[in-house]
Amino acid sequence: MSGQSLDPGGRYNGVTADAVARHASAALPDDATLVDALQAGDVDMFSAVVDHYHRSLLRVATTWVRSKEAAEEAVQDTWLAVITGLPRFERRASFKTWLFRILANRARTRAVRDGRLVPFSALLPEGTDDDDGPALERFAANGQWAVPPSAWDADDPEAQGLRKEVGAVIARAVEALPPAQRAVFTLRDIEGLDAADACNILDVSETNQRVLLHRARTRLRAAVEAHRTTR
Amino acid sequence: MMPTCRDVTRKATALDEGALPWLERMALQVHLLMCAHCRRYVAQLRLVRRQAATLPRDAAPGELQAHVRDWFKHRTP
Ligand SMILES: [Zn+2]
Repeated sequence: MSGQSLDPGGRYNGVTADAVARHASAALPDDATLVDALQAGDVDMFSAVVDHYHRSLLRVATTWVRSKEAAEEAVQDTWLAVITGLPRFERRASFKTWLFRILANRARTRAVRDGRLVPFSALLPEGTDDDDGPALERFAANGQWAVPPSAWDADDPEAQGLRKEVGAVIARAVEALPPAQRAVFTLRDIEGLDAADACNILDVSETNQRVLLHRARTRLRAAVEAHRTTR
Repeated sequence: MMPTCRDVTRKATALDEGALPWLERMALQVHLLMCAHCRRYVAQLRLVRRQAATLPRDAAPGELQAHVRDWFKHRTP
């Protein structure tokens, strides 16, 4: 494959990996500007969108398909469907809600075709009390803290460094979350979708969505705490 | 019935999501006013949430980019 010839003078022609990485982390413009640009055929804006959502799309796709390859194919199918649907996109939903709806649809379709659909309901964990907060041993019999949370929060004097560190721990730990928690956390906290959209995309009840979100945040908080006490 | 610290850790997301009945919400908020440990715990959950929103984004693989750019160019008038 020659990526170079596809885009003479564009970002893949003599652009350093570093520049591409910077491009990927740049924030996208507001929805109206973004969709206007895409509908007008701005291919560089499209590339930026593909970069921006890549990891989250993969993460959510693995909710229904289990292999990395199948998830990558579902993401590719999604972009093809986005390109096809763009001229008719009416902006009743936000672009990202539309995008993740297409992804859910493509991933399910692919999983059914391969005979490997994991229904979201099958991913709903039974869960124990320890999934919903610090272990019982950290509380006294009367329910008060026996081993209170260690000191790290936004008031920390080293707040800036702390935030960076928390971000790095989350980036790693999010990949290790159980699939349903990972999907909800990705849509809600990483992508900032509201609860109704997340429920709709994942086909999960509002209550289950909230339980999964809480368990995900609980685990990630615990991962940061563990990281800070063992460093 | 006043919530315990353990209750607060279990209900923190429901509280933030506005999913609790009025009385329960008030009771949790009173607890948070009085309990520094629980305030810290809830602040840490919120910090996780805030930092998740600003995680750095990796670039998509070059091969995928090449494919989708090609499709995009051929389908846009
Ligand atoms: Zn407390």
